[in-house]
Amino acid sequence: MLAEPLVSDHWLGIFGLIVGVVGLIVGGVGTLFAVRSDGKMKTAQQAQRQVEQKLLRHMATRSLENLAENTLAIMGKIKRREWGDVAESAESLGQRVVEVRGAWTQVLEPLEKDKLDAAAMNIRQFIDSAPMAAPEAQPSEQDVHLMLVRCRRLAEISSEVAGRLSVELMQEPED
Amino acid sequence: MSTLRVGSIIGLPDDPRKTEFVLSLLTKTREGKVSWTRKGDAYTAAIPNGVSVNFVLGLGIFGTESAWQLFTVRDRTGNELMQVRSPAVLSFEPSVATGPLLDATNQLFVAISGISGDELGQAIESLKKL
Repeated sequence: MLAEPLVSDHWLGIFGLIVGVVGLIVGGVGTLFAVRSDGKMKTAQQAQRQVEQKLLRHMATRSLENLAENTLAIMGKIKRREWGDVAESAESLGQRVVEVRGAWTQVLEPLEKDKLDAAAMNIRQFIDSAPMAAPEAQPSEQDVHLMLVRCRRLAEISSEVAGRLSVELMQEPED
Repeated sequence: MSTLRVGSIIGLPDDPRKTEFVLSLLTKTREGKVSWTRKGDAYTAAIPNGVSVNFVLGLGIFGTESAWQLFTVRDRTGNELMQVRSPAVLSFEPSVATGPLLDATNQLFVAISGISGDELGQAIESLKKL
């Protein structure tokens, strides 16, 4: 004589169905959490990129402002005929222009790149023409004026781009 | 005189396609099919396929813009396709090179300056009519 099972097939079937439904619900909830978590991750990554872009623009702005200040400082030295300082600072300025042009190329507009290139050409010509140190014959007024003109364009374009980037930074919404 | 300065120094000619581009641009500019805009110390124009062309002006000794200093062509992504540098701006050195590319670029600049002059003339005329 066969012993009667403790749980009938009927109840086993119902139990299996319940387990299946619960599994489905748990799976669905898990998927929802995963999707939500992925969304949060994407938002966080997007926010991080925005912060990085902002920081990049801020650094570029500072760098260009420094370049303009350095150029104006050299122009002051030219006006005061401090030729020893001028020669040393001019070499350093030439390097800074190339550095800035290369470092911040991604935040520069095409026309700004060209203007910076042209300004760098002027600075190279200025370096070539600047007296080394305490020249025996003082440069003429015309030569001094030419040196100032060659430097001025760099100060102008650096300030122009720094100004644009500053305004764009201010216009960006706060995170 | 151009981005290929080393090439210029050792006597290599410029890519003839660059000269062809500038001459084509000159023709289209004269026909009025390419419109140039003055942006501060530069002239700029956009041509089909997202290509942009810029002339950066050089400063004369008295601070007046006397001639072009740099001519650049860029593609839609901003990559530089060609660049021509004027050898004479703000320099007492004689021009080291006078190749066809430089000649064509000079002609293009003269054409643009002429158009710009006409616009100013028109503005003066319109003021006189007020």
